[in-house]
Amino acid sequence: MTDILESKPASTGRSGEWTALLRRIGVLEAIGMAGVLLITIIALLARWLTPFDPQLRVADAFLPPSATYLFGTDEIGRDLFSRAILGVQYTWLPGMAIIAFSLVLGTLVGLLAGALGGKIDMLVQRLIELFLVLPSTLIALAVVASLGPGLFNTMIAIAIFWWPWYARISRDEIRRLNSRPHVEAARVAGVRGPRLLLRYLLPGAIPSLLVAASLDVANVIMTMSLMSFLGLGQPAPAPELGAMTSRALDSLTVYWWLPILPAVLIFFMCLLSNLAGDGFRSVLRGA
Amino acid sequence: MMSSYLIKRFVSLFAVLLAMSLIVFCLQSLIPADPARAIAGPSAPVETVEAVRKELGLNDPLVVQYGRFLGQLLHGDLGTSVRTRQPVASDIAKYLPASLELACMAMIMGTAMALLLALLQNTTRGAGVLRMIMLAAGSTPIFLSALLLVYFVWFKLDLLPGSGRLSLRRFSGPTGFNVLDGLLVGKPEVSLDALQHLILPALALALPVAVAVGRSLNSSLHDVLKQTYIRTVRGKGLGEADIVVRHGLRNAASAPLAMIGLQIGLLFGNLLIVERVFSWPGLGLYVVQAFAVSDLPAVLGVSMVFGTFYILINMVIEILQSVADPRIRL
Repeated sequence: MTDILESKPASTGRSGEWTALLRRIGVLEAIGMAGVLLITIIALLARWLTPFDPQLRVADAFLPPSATYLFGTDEIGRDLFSRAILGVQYTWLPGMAIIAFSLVLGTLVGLLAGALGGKIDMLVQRLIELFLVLPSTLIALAVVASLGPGLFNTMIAIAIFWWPWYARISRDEIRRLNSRPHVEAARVAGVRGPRLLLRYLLPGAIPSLLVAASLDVANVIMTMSLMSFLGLGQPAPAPELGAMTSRALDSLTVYWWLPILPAVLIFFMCLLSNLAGDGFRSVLRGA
Repeated sequence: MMSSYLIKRFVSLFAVLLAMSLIVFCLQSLIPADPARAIAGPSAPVETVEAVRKELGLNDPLVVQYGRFLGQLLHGDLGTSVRTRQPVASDIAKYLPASLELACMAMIMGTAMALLLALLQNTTRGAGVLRMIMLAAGSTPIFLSALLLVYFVWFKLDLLPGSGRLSLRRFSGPTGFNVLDGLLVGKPEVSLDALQHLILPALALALPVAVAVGRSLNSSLHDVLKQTYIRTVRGKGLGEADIVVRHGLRNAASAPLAMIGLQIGLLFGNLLIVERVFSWPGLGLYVVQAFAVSDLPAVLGVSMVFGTFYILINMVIEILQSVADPRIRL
């Protein structure tokens, strides 16, 4: 009896914390966060995770999904599952790169505009507004069409229209923080220039920016696969998920797995990152 | 009030359109291939290419070229399509009605579904299930929902057509909007057929709109229903449905309206995908075919037209916002 009573607080200490955290995040959201971690690992290790060589004929063409060939085989007998895993890599890693690049650029522009104020702030604000009212997807498509298809051009075209969102959040946060007591105090104490920006203003703006970025992952993935579907990604043999779907469009009624399964993978990537974004928001809001 | 707003709005509209034309102009000058060489032919002597270059004004300073480009735009000249060898403007006029018909239907369906979702979430239990459905729908790439609709509703169940605009081979009415034309020429069966062809592609386009607008409407409706004036109406003994419809929706309209504006921009991108999947002969398919052969004038011309639409629609939405909620000053 005493044993149980004594051991109880000790055991709930650790697991209690975890349960509380899990309750705040939500079970589904926690699954999403674990899923995003898993996708990242798969994307990083894709080359070693494919059961078959994604570029070679390994079986008859058009085999339906089975235990050996999870997603079936394509029109030249390549293993669709192996190709789809590489497709996850081709989608996930560039998507992360776009987010990271836009986040850094947007944060810096917003930081400078918010801290310097005056004419520069005005100018940056107008520029951001202009970017936000332009039909971004369309212009991004036009940019890729003009620069020529390819992964790098796709990334540039998307990033051009992605950073202004973060610049606006960053700028607004900095303006809000600028009048806070701790920043005033630092200023009175003689802290100026980059030190004020990086030590006193930036840390306060980071949580909102990270939340916005994490909720954006699915949007970037969706935009990238849209471009890939339209044939603006890498040229033909590259296993991009969107392109795999669009190339197999005509075989939908005969070999449904060819266009559907790669698209289903995109769905799971978006679903998990949406859930993870919600979970991430609860963690940062709570902290 | 209104007129000063309109003036201010038109100035900024002009600025945005100017910016867009500048972007399009810059993209045009980015074309890796030499347009003069393309017109003169690969085996033409250097002098011929130079002559064509002069004729096209490619030796002029960029500012002059941009000015000329703007002048052409104002006259509705969007250049000539490399693929169809027709003026882009007349191509657009040919394919626009099909896309417009589809987009309108999609927006109507999307808004109706959003309304339904938000009302259900605010008046019934089981909001958790609805939230999951919306999350899943919001995570579905547009080509997946389009493909699933084609596969199940058309191919497996054969309930609705999954390709093209009409079952009839040849039909052309005065407006190009088939649903309308069928009625205008006294053939309601054509209208019905056109409507049936519209449902699946419009539904695919409407899903993301319904989710985004529904989510926004749900949260603003949720906030409005907590206000004291709603408590007052409730105290007067009005039914719950009456309260939500008559007093809740109008006050909650502003944020969802802005979301509708945003979604129209995304809809133009999704139109390319959906028209490709459903073989819908509109501007989306026109652009997809233009991508395949790097027909840049066609791509840029359509972008310019869609962009102008988008900017104009968002201006109308701002006006609607202030009509719905007079506290929002124009």
